[in-house]
Amino acid sequence: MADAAILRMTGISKYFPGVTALDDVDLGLMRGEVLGLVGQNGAGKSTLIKVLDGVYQCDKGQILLDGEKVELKHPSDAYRMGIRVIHQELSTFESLTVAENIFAGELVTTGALGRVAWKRMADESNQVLRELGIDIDARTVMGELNLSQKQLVEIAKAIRKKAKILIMDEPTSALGEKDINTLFGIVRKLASAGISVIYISHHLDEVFRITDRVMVLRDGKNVSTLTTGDTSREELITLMVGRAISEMYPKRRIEIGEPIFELRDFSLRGAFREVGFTLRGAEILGIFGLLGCGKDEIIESIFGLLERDAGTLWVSGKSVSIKAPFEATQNNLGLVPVDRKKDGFALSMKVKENIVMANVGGLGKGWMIDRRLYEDKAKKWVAALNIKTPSLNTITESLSGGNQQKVVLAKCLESGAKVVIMNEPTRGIDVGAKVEIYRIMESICEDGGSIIMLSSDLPEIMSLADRVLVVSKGRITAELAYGEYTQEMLLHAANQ
Amino acid sequence: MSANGRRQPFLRRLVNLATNSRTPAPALVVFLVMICAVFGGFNPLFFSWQNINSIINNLTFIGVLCLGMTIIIVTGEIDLSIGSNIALCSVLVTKMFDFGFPVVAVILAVLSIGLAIGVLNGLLVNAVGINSIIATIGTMTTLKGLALLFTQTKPMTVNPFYSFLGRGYVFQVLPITAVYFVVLLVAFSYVLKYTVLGRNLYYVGANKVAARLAGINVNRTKYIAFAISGLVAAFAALIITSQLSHGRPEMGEGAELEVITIVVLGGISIFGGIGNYFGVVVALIIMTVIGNGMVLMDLPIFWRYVARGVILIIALLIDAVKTKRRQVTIKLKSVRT
Amino acid sequence: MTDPRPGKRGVRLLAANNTLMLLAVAIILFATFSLMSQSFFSRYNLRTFLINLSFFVIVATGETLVLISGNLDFSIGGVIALTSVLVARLNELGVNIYLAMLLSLLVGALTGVLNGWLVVKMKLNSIIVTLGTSAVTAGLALVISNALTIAIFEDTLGFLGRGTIARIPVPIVLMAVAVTFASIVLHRSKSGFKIYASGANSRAAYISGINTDSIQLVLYVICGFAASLGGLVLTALSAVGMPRHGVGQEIAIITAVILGGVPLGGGKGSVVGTLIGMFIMQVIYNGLTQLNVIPYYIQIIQGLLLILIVTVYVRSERISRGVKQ
Repeated sequence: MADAAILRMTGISKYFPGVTALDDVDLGLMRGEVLGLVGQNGAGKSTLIKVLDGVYQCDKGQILLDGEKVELKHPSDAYRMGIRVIHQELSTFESLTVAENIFAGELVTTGALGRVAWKRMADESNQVLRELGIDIDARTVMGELNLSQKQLVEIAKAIRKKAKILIMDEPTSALGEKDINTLFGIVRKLASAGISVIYISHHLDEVFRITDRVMVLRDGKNVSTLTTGDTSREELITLMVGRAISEMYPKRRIEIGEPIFELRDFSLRGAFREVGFTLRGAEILGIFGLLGCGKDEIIESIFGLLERDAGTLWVSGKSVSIKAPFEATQNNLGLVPVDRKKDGFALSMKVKENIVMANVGGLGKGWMIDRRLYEDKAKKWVAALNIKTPSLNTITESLSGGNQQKVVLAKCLESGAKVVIMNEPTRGIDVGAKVEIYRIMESICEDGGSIIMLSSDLPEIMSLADRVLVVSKGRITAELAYGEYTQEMLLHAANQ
Repeated sequence: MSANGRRQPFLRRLVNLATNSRTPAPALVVFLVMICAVFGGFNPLFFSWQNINSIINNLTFIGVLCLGMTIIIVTGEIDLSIGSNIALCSVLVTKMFDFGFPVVAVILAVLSIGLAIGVLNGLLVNAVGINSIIATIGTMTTLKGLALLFTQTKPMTVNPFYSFLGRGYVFQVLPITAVYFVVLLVAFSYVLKYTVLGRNLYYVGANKVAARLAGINVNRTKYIAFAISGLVAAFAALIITSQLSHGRPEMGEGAELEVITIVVLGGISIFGGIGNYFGVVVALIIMTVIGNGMVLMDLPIFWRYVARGVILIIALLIDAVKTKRRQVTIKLKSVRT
Repeated sequence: MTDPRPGKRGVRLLAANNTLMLLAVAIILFATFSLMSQSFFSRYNLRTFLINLSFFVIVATGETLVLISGNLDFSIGGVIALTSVLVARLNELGVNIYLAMLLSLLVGALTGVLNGWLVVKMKLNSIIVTLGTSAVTAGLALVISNALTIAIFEDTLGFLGRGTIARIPVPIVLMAVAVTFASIVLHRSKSGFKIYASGANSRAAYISGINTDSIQLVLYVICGFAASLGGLVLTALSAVGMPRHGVGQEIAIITAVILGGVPLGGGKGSVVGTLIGMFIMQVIYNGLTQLNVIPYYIQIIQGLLLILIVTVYVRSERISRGVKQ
């Protein structure tokens, strides 16, 4: 019987010590369909994909590919069967050419001696790239491409050889709007050519743009599979979380104070130009922009992590010079970096150690550390921010993402930051913890602090920020006040 | 020319020339010509046939080692044990000839030992998971101890055929060791550019994790790299023992630093995944010429050690600047203005 | 989660309670050698043993600080050699001994500055670069001394090696002072905290406002200085300046530091741990020598020991990571 479904996973269960990652999950994928896969962190999305990719073997259940039962013991099995996964983190060979990246592991050889056929590889690579409408030459060194171009090369690599199913895990996290459009064009092209796509994303608006159906996972179970056109964002969120979230964002009406922080004429060739803004007390200033717009570089420059060509910084009316982060912290600035594991805290250190790291000087008078004071400070912040940890001496690596983020926030607040710069404050944090972070942000403002918030999560920034600055191609293209603009206006300004 | 049109200071231009990613070799060639002129100016004997012969001999010994080390560094690892490897093999050659082993047996035995040492290094790095620098320092110490243990004071029984293998001449003019070097250079170059194994070295060096994901057997690639390094060291030991007609545990001392200096100077980035033999050969000639020139200038030999250290540091600095430039390019490519 | 294999459980225990385990091993080894060799347990030998240990620990203290902050310094051997030769040569030339000692100490400090600049500011690989500076300093030692040993008959310097303070030999006093001071700084002071933070995650520490660059640089200078100090002690003890002094010792010292509990990436560990680690290694070395084992075997053991210790660390880290999953 000709099954319209190219893939049927039935009754998939996967157990780990102490945790059921997948519980009797069914997934059906039709030929040429784009299926969205959504769910909170820890819901089981990546486990399911790993089962399909042959990284894990399911403990129960079976997988039918094209109507036939298959055993996927290893990623190479999955690959041979036409299952291709594009992961969130690009794995590229920066020093090698595009052609070498596309053919990694499968170099084309010719002749009896198995000589590498450079020309043929370049030609074939160019062919695949053209077919997808990608305008990159195969002989370019990968390191010279920008982030979105690299992602496109990854796609070319994945589908080069007889792909049946393409799985994309958060493919747009590093893409700008124009490239997202290119990507969606490619996805539609693939779908109409009969290749099925599983699209995993936290960005529900994208799910609504590109998918035919969407499947929701929660706590390892398949809660629902819906036709995209028949559902709504609220319904999906409710299914993902298991309860209605009406009060996700705090209703804030905090009195905004005087200007306390100002940039003037920030410029750095190749990154940003003539950037200037003012920040007021108890204000949340949002900065929105697509990837590559320069917003990260602007705040790195503020914090002394990146040198700029020109521009002045004013804190409480006085001009300050910040050439390194310690000067920033001296001026009561704090930074919650976008990559918290790499830049935000030390994985191997205890919770209390990470909390005080930005204010070691405050651990007592003089040279020595006052242990009592140390413990008290740590205790205070764990309580204030509701950090869930077995003890102050727990190694921070073992905390959940949300709690790790709270530790980083505690660190900033402990150092007396009056201006907290948060880059993607809730990335990689599940919905429940997000709400807690928002409440903490609100209380920072209640205490008179200000927040500069960089976010690519549209609903988040629209609900939290008193004002939003839109950055595009290194310049500020719009300044919008809370409640006085639409999503379209934001995106429009971001694409100027 | 800088952005605003003013000519940059000479030093800055020199640094730029040296650190230009695309064309390291021309800068090196210019430098080579310069120092040849300097040494020749000091002592015209520098250009004598006898001296050039001496240069070629030294060159081939270190050169062979560089071929092996390049492969290791491209993979992203380092082998600091080659010096002790040479010491041990050299001492064993003496012992074996003393026991009356025929030449062929000695050669095969020594090559096998070198290979075994390489595999051992590979094991420590792959199977145990030790950082290659520390692992090879460990083997370096151990092997040196072994070499000292097996040393004997009486001179080696000289075997004429064996001596020819190291000291002979082809067509009465070309040292046979030069032939070895050229043959190996051609072979290794081909492997690096045109074989899957060779390309895998680059993949592994550029991004180990991605290489594994792509289905490349990273462990096997590294084993082979270390094995080649060990083999090459044993081969070098055979050459030098033949040339000097005795095996001493001091052989090869400091070789690893000299070789790493040459390889990095020649454009092989210490971070892995980049470079080819052309720059290495030029760097090889430069270092050999410097060593030779210093002898001709009657400088006490110890200055050579100092020079070695200084040049290594300079080579690393150049490499670091180049790598930083590359990374800045990559980073700025993610911003669009 | 039960580990079926007892070996695995044992390794986990080792990783969990490091210093105590080390102390136990040290005591066991000491007892074993004492029983096996009368000459080992003699009063003369033990005194010599402790004095030699002091030399190593003084140098190792500096190295410990560098390792905890996340770096490595392989140039200590060369620094010891250059210091030794320099002080002897200056003394030979009639330079005032205090001045000579001061200048020699400067050797270590300046090497530390160079190392610090190359590794921290220019961001070069610490091992290879310090091997380079090691070659330079050891080479200079050879140049200055022309590969000869220089005898030095000097009371002030001699006091450093053979004198006593309150009946305790000076080197041992220096060791005690160094270890105590370093421990207090590391475990009780604000600077110590910053040192650990720099090793645990230097980028996060930097963004938190800690000046990781200057911390790591200063520690290189301290390490160089400690190596010079050790070099002076060694010269005083042996009454000669030798370009061979200290050459090759960096491996033993770094092994001891790692054995003592500082992981290769830094961020953890203690000077006391290094002391015990060095003690263990010296006990093995001295004990075997007293048992008349050929010195070359000892070198072989040194190499194997490094491999073994690093293996244990790498494996135990992998296991504890696995358990946490």
